[in-house]
Amino acid sequence: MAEGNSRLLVHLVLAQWRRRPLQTLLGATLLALGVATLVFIVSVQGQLSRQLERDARGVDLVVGAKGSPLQLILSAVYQVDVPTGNVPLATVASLRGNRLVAQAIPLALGDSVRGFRIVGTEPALLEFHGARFAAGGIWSAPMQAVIGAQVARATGLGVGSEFFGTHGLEEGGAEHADARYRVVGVLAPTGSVLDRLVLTDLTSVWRVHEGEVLDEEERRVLESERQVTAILVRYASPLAAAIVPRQVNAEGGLQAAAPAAEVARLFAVAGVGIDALRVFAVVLIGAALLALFITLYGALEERRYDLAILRMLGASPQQVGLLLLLEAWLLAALGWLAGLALGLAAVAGVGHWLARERSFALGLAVPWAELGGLALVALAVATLAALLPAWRAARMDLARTLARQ
Amino acid sequence: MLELRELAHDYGPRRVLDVPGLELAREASCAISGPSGSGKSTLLAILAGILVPSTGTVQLDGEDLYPGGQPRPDRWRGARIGLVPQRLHLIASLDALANVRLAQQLAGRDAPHEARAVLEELGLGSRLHALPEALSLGEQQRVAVARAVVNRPRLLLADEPTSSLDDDNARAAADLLLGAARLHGATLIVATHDARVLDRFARVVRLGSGGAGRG
Repeated sequence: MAEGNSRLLVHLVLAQWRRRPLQTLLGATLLALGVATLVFIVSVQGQLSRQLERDARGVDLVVGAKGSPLQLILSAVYQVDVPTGNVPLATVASLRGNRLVAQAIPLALGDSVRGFRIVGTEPALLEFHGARFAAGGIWSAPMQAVIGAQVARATGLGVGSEFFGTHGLEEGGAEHADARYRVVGVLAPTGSVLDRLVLTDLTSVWRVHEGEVLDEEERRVLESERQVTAILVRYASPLAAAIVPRQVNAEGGLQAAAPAAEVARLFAVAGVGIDALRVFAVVLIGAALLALFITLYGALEERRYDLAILRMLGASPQQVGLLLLLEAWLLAALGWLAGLALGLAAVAGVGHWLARERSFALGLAVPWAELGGLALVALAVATLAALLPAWRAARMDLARTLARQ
Repeated sequence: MLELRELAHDYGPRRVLDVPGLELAREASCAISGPSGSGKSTLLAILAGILVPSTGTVQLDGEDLYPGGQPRPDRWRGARIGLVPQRLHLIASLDALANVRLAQQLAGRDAPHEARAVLEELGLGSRLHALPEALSLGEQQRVAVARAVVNRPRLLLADEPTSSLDDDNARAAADLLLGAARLHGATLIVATHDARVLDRFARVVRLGSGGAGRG
């Protein structure tokens, strides 16, 4: 078809929309809501699963206090839940003595700064996540801290800055007046949980909570009672998966949880909700199809003479059919674009909320491959809705229609 | 020149139109009259190129309207035949100028200045961008005439152009069609049973109740 005629058809479609704005809006809105829901699900699910996988990469097992294994994984690996309790420091040595364990990294939680968790650990955690320094370096003494990229961005802290930890993992806890930390390093963004953590050595966390030590005897007692919150474990061999968790669980007060199994369980539970949302989106898209069909089919009678005049003026049956198809396609494109914008706005909104909660980072990553699929779905929906009206319009008996006026 | 030979049309067993012959020179005009059901609309549809007659031929400047018993392509028809339908049927969402340009574009032409000139000739220079609903009935009729003549058709058809007009406007509409056809060099055929219009035509073909024509 000539370019001029394509422009003419688009012009006619837009003119028709101006004539029936409410029906046009209804079809486009339903489609937009369906597409937005799918964009939201695909984007959030994709990003969360990638983030969960990235944060847990290399962690075969987490050892912590008895309680919910999912809670242990969420608190120790993803830093989004409260810990199940503490375990004796000796557990770390015991695990390191196990020939099936390649690496055991202790974590000590308890305090935070402006909502970001302070985690006592060892430099091995940084290597574990492949972290690089944007400024400064690793701590060399207690009460020195290395902060993640998101922490630095949100708090404005930098190398040389000092801060006081507050008790508890949420914002608003009591300040430890004697817990003055100095920032010695800022990490480059890793895309992992490290971005939103304040890291320090284990001694710092213990010292803050032990308070002022009066004499050597008290120091010895306190040191013998030192605990950690959780231990991240990497196996030395696949055989360890069958043995180490049983060994840990056999000890009183300890539990072992495998991130892979717990995350799979989490997704199985959350999957029900995600599936419900998917069904909801499909219902919306189905409703859009119906609305589009009713709009086009319903308007056919009203537009019968307009279409007949177009034919009389020289439009071919194909052009008249194409006019209705084009109307549906343009409406689908409009719905798709509006749905994309709406879905991404919802992702941005949830991302903003999660960032405020110091939880997972959710970016505006556009899932182009899935969006391409959605565009095809929108196009197919529009074509289906317009096919019968377009066919009827193209097969219109011109003489009879004009005679019936 | 428009030539009709042995033209007849049947709907099932019923013959609704029977015109043994009719010749009209270029720029000639003719009214077709007859009571309701006499076949006026059928004849007009055949002349418009959208209804294949049961028998007979229609030739426009030597070209058969239905070669091999098939209608000509839509664009061919759009470029050569202009129709002013009874209810005008301007596209409500397009302004006067766009309605006229639509006829050009669908016939494969795009000359906005010509569309504008035709509307100006018909006294609508100040109403180019008015939507049909903002136009009076007389103005709408002029837009419909402009749309029908903008492609300089060889044949201009009008179906009951005065059915809802008072005496003055009826005569004005007839004069408008006659003037436009003369100006654009088209053969004019008007289907009507309105005596006020029939007076304006030197030639009138009367269709009987069985569709038989005598001119």
